[in-house]
Amino acid sequence: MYNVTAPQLQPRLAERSHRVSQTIPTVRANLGALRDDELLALVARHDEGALGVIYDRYSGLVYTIALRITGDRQTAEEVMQDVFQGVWQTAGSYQAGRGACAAWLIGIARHRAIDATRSRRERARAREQTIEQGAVLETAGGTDPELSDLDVREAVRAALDALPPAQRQAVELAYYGGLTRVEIAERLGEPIGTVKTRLRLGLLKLRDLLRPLAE
Amino acid sequence: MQPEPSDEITDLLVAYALGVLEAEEMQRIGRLLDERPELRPSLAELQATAGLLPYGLPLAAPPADLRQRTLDHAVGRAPRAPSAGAANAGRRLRGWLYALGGLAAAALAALAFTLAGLGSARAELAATRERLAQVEQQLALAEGQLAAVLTEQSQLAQAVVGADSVSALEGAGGLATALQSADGEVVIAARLPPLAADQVYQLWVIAGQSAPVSGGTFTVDSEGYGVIALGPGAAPSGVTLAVTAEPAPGSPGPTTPILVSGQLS
Repeated sequence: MYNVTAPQLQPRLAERSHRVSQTIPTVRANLGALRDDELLALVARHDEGALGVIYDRYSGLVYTIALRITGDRQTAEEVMQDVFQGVWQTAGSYQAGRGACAAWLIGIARHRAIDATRSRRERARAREQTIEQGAVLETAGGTDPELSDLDVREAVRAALDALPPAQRQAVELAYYGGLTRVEIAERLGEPIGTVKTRLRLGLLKLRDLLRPLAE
Repeated sequence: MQPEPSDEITDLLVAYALGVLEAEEMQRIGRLLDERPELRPSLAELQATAGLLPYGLPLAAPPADLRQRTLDHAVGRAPRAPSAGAANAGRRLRGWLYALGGLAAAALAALAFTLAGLGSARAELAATRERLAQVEQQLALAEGQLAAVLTEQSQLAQAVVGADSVSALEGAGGLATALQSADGEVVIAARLPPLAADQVYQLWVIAGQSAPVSGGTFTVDSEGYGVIALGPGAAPSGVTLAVTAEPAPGSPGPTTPILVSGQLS
């Protein structure tokens, strides 16, 4: 047991405070200069500062996806917390690839958000798909690192605007709704063949329009 | 560039890339990719295209306070925190209370935040109780915390209304206010960093050169606010109050540096 008084502890407290205040800005500045894959390597070693920088870089994108899929701010916030918990726990399994961190996070965010909006029975199926698709998502390329986020956003919006409305609706229902093609057909009151065609034509056209963005 | 596969195969690849395949089709595409590895680049390209779709959404900004809650949850420092909606209600109340001015208002604001956080946690637990049996245990815990806070509310309200003197507890680790009523009861409202799951904050009463005596333990809510009360006579004027973070359920004496301290006027 310590037998000390508060005044005796004050110098220790002041020294510790000074040391921390001197160190934190330097460490933070250095972390901010690291690439995504370097940060994730640090996160895999449970460096919370590195996780904070990943959050600062991608929280807007992850939150946007979560909000679009769940349609509810409270659920979107819960998804955010789960996504970054997932990053903290699985960063070691991330396979570095240029620009792929965003794709990796988008995959996690989308599946967590869809999972949060489904019934328990459907969740089991979603988890199976998450496991199946995880490996492919990690190797899927990202965008050209020379392009700014703004360039990418403008190009994607223009490509989506170029789609016929029915194709765009089908693609967005599939991607954000987490529905199977049969469920999309039921939702739209269209034959399954029509839905398949709209999805195929829509995604192929987007691929062609967005090919310049790929690495 | 590879020639375009047939429509039927492309349909499968597109559905896989968009994550809309039925379970039985998952097996089919697995076999297909094994038999025709030349399809993998086409699939990867479609997946990369699908992965760009979120960039077409209007960018939504997460609430500023979500960063700390997310990091706390991610590293296991705190359970998933209440939503911003509930916290916003607490924030509005806190603004109103600060408008009253003075340290007493700050102390009441701390209580408002505590209640807002626990109220939301309780509502969340009630909603999930139907789905998860394990939530029963969490609910019991939350209800216990709520009861404790309601007791603290009573103590705090009484102390604020009848506060005879107010003392500040200061330090690099946070801030706290001690409100002393005319009959000697002391209520301390503190704002401190989040605790690890196996830690509590412990209040120490130090009279002159005597060894610190524990005044009890407390925790803080997701915003860092916590409240603890001392009965009449437990902390007479002139003693030093100090707070340290200790391993739960508390220590016989301080084992970590003092976070905030101050002398009762």
